[in-house]
Amino acid sequence: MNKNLTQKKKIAIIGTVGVPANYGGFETLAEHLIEDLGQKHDITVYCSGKKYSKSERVSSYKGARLKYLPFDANGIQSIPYDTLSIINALFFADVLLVLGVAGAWILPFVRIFTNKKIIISIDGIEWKRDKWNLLAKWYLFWAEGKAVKYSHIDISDNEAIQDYTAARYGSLSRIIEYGADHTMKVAVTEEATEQYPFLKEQYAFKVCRIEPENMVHVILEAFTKTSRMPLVIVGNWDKSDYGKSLKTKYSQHPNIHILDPIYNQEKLDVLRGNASLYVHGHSAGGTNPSLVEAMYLGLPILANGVSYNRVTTENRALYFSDQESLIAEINKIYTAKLKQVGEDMQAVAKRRYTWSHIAFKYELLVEEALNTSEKADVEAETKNIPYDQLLELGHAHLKTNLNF
Amino acid sequence: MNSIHIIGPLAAFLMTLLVIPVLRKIAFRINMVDKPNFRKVHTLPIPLIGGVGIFIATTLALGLALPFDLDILGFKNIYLAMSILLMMGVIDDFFELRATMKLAIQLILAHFIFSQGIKIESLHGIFGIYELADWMQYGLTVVVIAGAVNAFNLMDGIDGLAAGLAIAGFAVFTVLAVLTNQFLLALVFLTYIGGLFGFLRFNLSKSQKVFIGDAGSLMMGFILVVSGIRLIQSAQNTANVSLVILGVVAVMLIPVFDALRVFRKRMKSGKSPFNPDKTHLHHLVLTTGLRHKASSLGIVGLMSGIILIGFISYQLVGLTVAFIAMLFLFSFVTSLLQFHNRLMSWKTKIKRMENINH
Repeated sequence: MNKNLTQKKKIAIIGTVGVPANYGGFETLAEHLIEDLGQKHDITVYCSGKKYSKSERVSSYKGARLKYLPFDANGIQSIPYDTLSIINALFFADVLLVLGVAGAWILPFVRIFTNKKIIISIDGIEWKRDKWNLLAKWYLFWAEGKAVKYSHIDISDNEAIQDYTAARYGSLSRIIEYGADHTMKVAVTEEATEQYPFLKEQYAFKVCRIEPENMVHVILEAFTKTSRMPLVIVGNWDKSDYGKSLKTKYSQHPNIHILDPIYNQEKLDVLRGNASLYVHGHSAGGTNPSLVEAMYLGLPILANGVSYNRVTTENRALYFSDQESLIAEINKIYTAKLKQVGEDMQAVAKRRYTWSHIAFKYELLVEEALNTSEKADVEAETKNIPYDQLLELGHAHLKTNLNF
Repeated sequence: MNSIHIIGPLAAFLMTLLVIPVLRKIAFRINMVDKPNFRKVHTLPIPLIGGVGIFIATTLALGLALPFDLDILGFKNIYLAMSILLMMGVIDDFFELRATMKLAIQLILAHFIFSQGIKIESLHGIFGIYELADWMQYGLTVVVIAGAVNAFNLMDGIDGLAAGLAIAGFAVFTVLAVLTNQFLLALVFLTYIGGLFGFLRFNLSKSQKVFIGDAGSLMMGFILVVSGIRLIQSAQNTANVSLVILGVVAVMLIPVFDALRVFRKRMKSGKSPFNPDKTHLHHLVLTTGLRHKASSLGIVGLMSGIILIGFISYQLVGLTVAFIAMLFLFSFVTSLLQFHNRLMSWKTKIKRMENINH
């Protein structure tokens, strides 16, 4: 057996806010990697000193070493945060697991001057998102290229992103999604029904950042035009003009319940877990953790029909593309159908979106990275044969894969 | 200089305002209009008489303002060649002349200009080169004139751009003429600026829009490049010669180097350098989401930036470094725009990939 596979290796997880996880998908992922991967390897996680106060900081967590850097993990500060994390990791790590492309400018140097193995998760198509200004978009568009080119393995969280990296870079990206089995179904309590009377009836549920790319305006407008069931929607309404104007416009509508952010996870789980329909409007970036969580809870999903969501739900959920199709889908709903979709979603989630499954996929990639020096691409081996020879053999079409 | 000379620019401006509406009506009647196609940005037929309008108005204004027997720097011969080029442009706007035919006429005119003694005689120490051999003088002069005229013609892609660049160019030339004590020549340049501003009033209008046409853009390119060469000659052996060269090169830099950039790119992808596409500077600027007027203003702004950086580095170091600095700024801006263009085209491609299941 290869020595590499039996020896304990040092892995640095770079680019998350940190653990214990209080935040988004990457942090929850890091936490589960510590639990599973940590049994075979030594893990170090870089954490944002901005999000963990001095008293909260610990030097190790569930067996992993933690290092704190005084930057935010998101926004413009993610560039120095990721960069310094990568430089620091060069002193000890065998494998750099970099989540996000913000520090990718330095990867060419790492690749050329060290023999560290680099695995990078490009986290959706970040440069395309409306929340970034033009300079940030330019940087992310460029950095993504460096990330894919100079990593040993790049990870997409969704097949649709894999198609994109294949088309733009010719890279054979690996797909690893997110887990969802940390979510729990919470039963409705009397206290909850007192606070939220709508819990007694059927309702549709949506929780998301209030941004145009999540189609909040389309979904709200659609639910004013149907009385099939009310919509309960939770989000950060007061953070933007977009949110404020929607809140003013729709808060009085009888079929819509607009709620401010709920930081109590249990309370949120009650609202989400008991919904009759989960509406998912996200139009941007890869596999959304919130969607796989809803699937794991067995909720019937009505999703924006962009490729990412169809792939995540294996094309077995309900889909809409605009306001008209959304209204039509809502009006077509009947209980047996909802039950069927919910069961289908749960079956997909239990098969694909459990943390042990996700962590196992990462483990395989770490082992592959340790044993590879070349990057896998989507081109056929035949492209290496000189064109003259191919022509002579009558196989000139094998020179490119543009024919497909 | 007489006080009557001052009225030239104003007269040109006012006469353009009078002449263009008349020509506009005629153009619709004789069908001298630009019809929309897939490469064009406009959707209605637009009269192509801007160039003719500017020519008529500025000729009348110059006749009014200048002593008739005055021949500034061989001005009459330049005027003759210019009129021929304008006529060729008008015929081209009507019938779409063959490219080889147009090039032949331009080369003949360039030869004519050379035979009048207007020529590039020396590189004045740029890249260490001074006086040129006779055949090189001839070759360079003809190539520069024909090249610059066509490059300027290619700039004419969005509202106000050709006229805006010409106005900025004539403004620089006016300064250079004053620097070399050629006040009547400065007045001629100002007269063209007056005519061009009159034209812009229509070019930028929605209801009365006209285009400068091939006739106009060829003519403007021709006056600019020939005046530029003549300005350098007239400044020869004076202390200002380097500054004049710098100014002339700065004025021609965007059209010429953008044409070279586009040609190189087309040849690299195995196409003919003359194969029309949407990769010119103004197309790139439009992908940033700026509107026409703002894009034209932005490109004229880039020209001002190039002039400024050229002037500063000339003062600090010297002519060669100034050229390199100007070229660097131009390449930097075009590279950034191309990068942005690539980003936008991937955005469109991804949009298609995302919605493939609908």
